[in-house]
Order: sequence, then C-alpha cells, then structure tokens
Amino acid sequence: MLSYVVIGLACGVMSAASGLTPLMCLLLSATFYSGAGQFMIAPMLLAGSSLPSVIASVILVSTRQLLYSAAFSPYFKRVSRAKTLLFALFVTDESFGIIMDKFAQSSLDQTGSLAASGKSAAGIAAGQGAGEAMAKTGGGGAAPAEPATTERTESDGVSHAASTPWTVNTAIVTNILCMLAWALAVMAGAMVGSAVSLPVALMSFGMTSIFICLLVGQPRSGGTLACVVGAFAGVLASKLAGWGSVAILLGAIAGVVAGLAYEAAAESRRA
Amino acid sequence: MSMGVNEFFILWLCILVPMIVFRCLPILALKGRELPERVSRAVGLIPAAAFAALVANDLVQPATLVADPRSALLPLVAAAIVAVVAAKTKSLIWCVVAGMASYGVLMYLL
Repeated sequence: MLSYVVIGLACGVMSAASGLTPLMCLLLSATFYSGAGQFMIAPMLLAGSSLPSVIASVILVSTRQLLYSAAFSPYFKRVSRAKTLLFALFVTDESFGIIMDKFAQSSLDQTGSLAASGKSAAGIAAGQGAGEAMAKTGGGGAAPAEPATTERTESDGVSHAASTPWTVNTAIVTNILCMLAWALAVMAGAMVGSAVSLPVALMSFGMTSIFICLLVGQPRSGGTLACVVGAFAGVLASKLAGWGSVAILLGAIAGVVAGLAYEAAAESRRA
Repeated sequence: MSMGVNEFFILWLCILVPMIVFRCLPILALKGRELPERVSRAVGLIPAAAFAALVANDLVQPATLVADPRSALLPLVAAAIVAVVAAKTKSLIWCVVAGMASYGVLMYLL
C-alpha cells in the first residue's frame, strides 16, 4: 500500500510534466487504474507521440489484464456476477500478485480436507461461508475508512493477513483501497509536479522493483523457472522483431508455454 | 506539450473501454466452468509468466545495449540488488526503496 503511494506520487509528477491536470490524473487513476499504462502515457506524450499511437500502445499493454482475469476465474466459480465484476474492475498488476498469493494460500489450507482434488477453486468456494465472518472482522474494519486513514488500516491488514486466508470480500476491499491510495497519490504527485523534477527512468524503475518483488515471491519450482526463461526469451524476441508494444503479452504467453512444456517433460520422465 | 480537455477525454475513453473488457470478460466467461486439466495448469502459470514478462520488458533493451551498453546494464545491476532485497525482506516497499535508491546511485556513478 505504501509502495503504491510512493510510485503514485512519482507517476503524478510525471503526468503533470506531460500536461495532465491533477483532476485528469484522479479520473484516469481511479478508472483506468494501471500503473504500467499510466507510466507509458506521460513519456509518450512528452516525446510528442500522436494520440492514436499512444492509445494503441496503451491498449496493447493492457491486454495482459486478459490473462489476470482468466487466472482469477477458478476462484470465482460460486461468487455472484455483481461481486465478480466489482472485483474484476479493480485488478491491476500489483493487486493481482498480492491477491493471487493470498488465494493460493487459502486453497492450500483447504487441500488437507479436500483430499487433493487438484481443483483449488473448490477449496476457496467451500471456505467462503466460514470466511465471510472473517472478512467482516478483517476487511470490515477497513471498509469505512477514510482515504486519510487508509494506510494505517491497510498495513495492519497486510501484516496479519500473511497467515490468514483471504476471501473474495477481503480481496474486493483491498482492491478498492489500493485504487484509492493510488488515485490520491497520483493526484497529489500531479499537484506538486512542477516543483520536482526527477528522471523518468528513475521513477519508472520503482515500478520495475515492484514487479521484481512479486516475481521473486512466486513458488520456486522448475515450472516457474521455465516460465521465467520463456518470458525473457519471448520479450527479447518480440523486441528484436520490432514488436515492442506487445512484448509483455507475447513474453507472458511464451512463459506459460515454456512452463507447460517443462511440466509435461517432467511428467513423462517420471512415468 | 500540454494536453487539451477534449484530447484527454478521447484518450481516457479509448483506453478505458478496452481495459474494462479485458478485466471483466475472461473472468465472467470462464467462471462456473470446469476447466480441463491442461488449461487450469496454464492458468496457474500465468502469474509467474506475467511478472517475468513485465520485468523482462523493463530490463531487456537490445537497442540500447548496442547503442549505449552502460545505460542498458544499469537497470540489470539495480534489478539484481532488488532481487536480493526481495528474497530477504519479501516487502514491496523495501524493494521500491532499494530499487530507486540503487538506480539513482548507479545513474550518478556511471
């Protein structure tokens, strides 16, 4: 949460430099809500790119959300449509990593009783009823919080959440709090924007650092390693081919393919 | 360059609508279905693959590497420092601090 504020401030400063007003920043951050996307807009505008080319690049970069959305779907089998939408609207790179982590943890806790079903989703859904009550104590306290008190509440939430499985409700509240923190930070950054000048590369590296942290937090397995190798190779290949704007999507797909190939190979060796 | 209000709204709408579709369509379309084993396995690999691709996209710069090797290597060194901090602390905020600090120091040194 605090990292959102730091990066958000940096993003705001940059956006202001590209001519966005604080209100525009607030609107963009609260709805479009994508750190990576917003970090792209400012330098492109500064470099004098045309509006259509900015739009096309941002849309291409946003396509990775398709993958996130697909990855969450097993956990939402028994969640109502409205709740699913409320959740899905505020998923972004960082919250995807954090919430996926918590969901995976919850399903691990459940697998003991569910006798290795392999369908982790069922675990989450089954835990939902009991979890509702927990969300009220854990997430409920945070729900009515004013943006000003958001940081404290949230850091509490994260510290004890490490051991507590998460429910869909907790995830929705977390998503929205993160979005508010981000939007307010970007707006604040845009307001002080003209007073500060930091190199764009330095500020966007804060974003990179977040992704590195989330990547390091992934389970250590051969499949993951194959994914990473595949993704790096995919990104490199896309860039060499001149398809830089879809490098993230192609890299991610290459990573999944490499991971699957590794797992298939490992399995046939065992058999 | 400064951006007009009209231009801003065009940009906003044009990137927001696809974003909403990307965020909501797969989860609604896939939920409530039993995914075949292979597909659910692929879905499980998405987080690692996505973060690796995001990191790679920021670190791998073939064009810069040829033109100016130093500035292409700088983020790699800073990233290695962040990776160590990430493994040790598992904290997003420390990673951001370590990342921006080491990037800044390296930028100053090189």
